[in-house]
Amino acid sequence: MTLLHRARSIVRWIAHRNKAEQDLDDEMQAFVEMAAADQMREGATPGEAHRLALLQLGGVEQAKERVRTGRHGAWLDDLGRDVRYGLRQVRRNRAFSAIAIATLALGIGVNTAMFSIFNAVLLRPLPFEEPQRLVRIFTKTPDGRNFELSPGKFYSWQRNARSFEDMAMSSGCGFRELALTGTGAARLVRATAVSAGFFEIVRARPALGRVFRQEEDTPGGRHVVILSDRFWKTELGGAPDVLGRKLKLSDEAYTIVGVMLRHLDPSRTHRQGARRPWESLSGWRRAPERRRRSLSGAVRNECNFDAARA
Amino acid sequence: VEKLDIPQGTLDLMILTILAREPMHGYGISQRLTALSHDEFHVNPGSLFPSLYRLEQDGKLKAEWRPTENNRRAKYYRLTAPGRRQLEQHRERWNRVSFAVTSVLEGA
Repeated sequence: MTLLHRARSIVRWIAHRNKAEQDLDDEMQAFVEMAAADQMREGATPGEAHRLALLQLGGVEQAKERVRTGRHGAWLDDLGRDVRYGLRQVRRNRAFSAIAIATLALGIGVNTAMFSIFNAVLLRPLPFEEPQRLVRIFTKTPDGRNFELSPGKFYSWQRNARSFEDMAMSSGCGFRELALTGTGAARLVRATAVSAGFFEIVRARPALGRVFRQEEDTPGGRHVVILSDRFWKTELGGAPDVLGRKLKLSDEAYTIVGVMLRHLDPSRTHRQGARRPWESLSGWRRAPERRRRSLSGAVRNECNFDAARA
Repeated sequence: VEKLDIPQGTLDLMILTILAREPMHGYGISQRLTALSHDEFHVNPGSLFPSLYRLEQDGKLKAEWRPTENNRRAKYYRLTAPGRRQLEQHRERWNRVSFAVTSVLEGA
């Protein structure tokens, strides 16, 4: 009840500000007149009576101001005044204001950007099952720089490693640029190369078809490609009969053997990857433009990371 | 003679008490207060009007413009039902406070 009254009264004060001010003015005026009339009844001259009445009121403006600040909702007036004052100051000192605003904007922007990166890299889990069992292996030169992994080395590791359930090789963020022709205008396509076993390690299942087979890793093997969900939908219109069809990539025919489920869209691990199809290592190995490669390994169930690192 | 300060928190109570008898305008309230207190309390309009406006905002009083007996226009304040309830509560509390203070002073 009281709260409702108060809210209504504040709204009235704001909405009918002029009328409320006029009302307050009239009330003070009436007070002065009545006080003056009383003084005159006691024998004062009109001028003296008015002066005494004003004295009694203690200064009309002060009394009015105390009414205004004593009201509920007076803070809204204060807020309005502060905002107007702030804007005036901003306008008065443009150069300083611009620098202050730019500093704030930059600070907030940088913070947001940093957090976005932090969130994507550290906080958001990888879109894979059992991500805690996945490790990525880097090779380094003796002086500590990352170094490209050769397929020969990879195969020997895969054969001999005891601590890992399996190992696969992938170009990671690296890619090969291929010219896609035969499906409308020629386009540049960036493909990620992965070894057989890669999709099993990240527990990704195809929506259509299958993943790469072991023999498709070998040089000179048949060129095969697995489409990402995005590529399938944007380039081939999501046609259900794409399996077995050929894609012409840089003048070589690649057979489509599978389409990945949406949730393994590489876009979720790295941004530019959304549309990329995957190719097997067969084409990759002969390709002149070799890029970074990395290993993904899944640690065996019973084994811990320390042992795997050793 | 030095006038007494109105004790903190008692002005609202006295305003409500005066208005419980009959509706009255601001000047009338201040005159009545002075008379009833045997000329001890002189309420400053700078204190009276903020109290009146606050009580009105809280719905304890209702105000309307009416002509006075001298054919002036004045804003008359009248007690509402919530105002009457508040008056009863505060009067009850004030009685206890004043009884308690008096008891301490006389018992010491």
